[in-house]
Amino acid sequence: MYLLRLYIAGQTAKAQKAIKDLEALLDEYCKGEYSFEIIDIMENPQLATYDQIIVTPTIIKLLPPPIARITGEFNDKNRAKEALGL
Amino acid sequence: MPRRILVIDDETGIRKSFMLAFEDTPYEVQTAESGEKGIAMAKKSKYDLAFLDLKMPGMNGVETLRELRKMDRDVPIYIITAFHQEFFDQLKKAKEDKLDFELLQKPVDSEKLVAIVRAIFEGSARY
Repeated sequence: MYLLRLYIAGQTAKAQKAIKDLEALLDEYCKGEYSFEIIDIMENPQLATYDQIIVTPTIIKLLPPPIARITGEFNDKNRAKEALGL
Repeated sequence: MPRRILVIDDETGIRKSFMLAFEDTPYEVQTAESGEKGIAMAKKSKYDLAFLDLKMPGMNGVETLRELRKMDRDVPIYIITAFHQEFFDQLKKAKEDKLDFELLQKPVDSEKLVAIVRAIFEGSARY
């Protein structure tokens, strides 16, 4: 089971695109065996600090280990998959 | 033509850390010590990416962001700030006004900073 969080800065068109890209990535490589949360850093900075997030947008893969954090554009699914270690 | 990065921050140490971090990279960094100077630079030259300190004397980060967005709606702009609720209230107002920006936490580690910029220009990458 994969557990991920997507950190964004406000509900913007770019944030919506990042959400769609993440969903497409997980649907292709994690075959329904995943759970993810969307965290707005401006609403929950404490959790961002706990997860050692330093930039938006960031996807953090919490499970399975090792933890991985990626930023940038997530539309290149192969590149994002490699970077996250899916 | 190298990708050009504009860094606007009143702290000399931050500006120097950006210059040092990117000196052996294919990216060119130019710095400004105030929002006013940064805007003047952006009027003269085109940048591919901008980092902007939130708390500056004179024009603060949000005021500078508003002016930069009048000139360029698409250039990626990252606000440099501590991730604390007290700093986010004015940023929430900017989001409500449809001003587009991302956030970068202060202080900034040089190695991670280069990884983040590579990800911005070249696609997703780990940091």
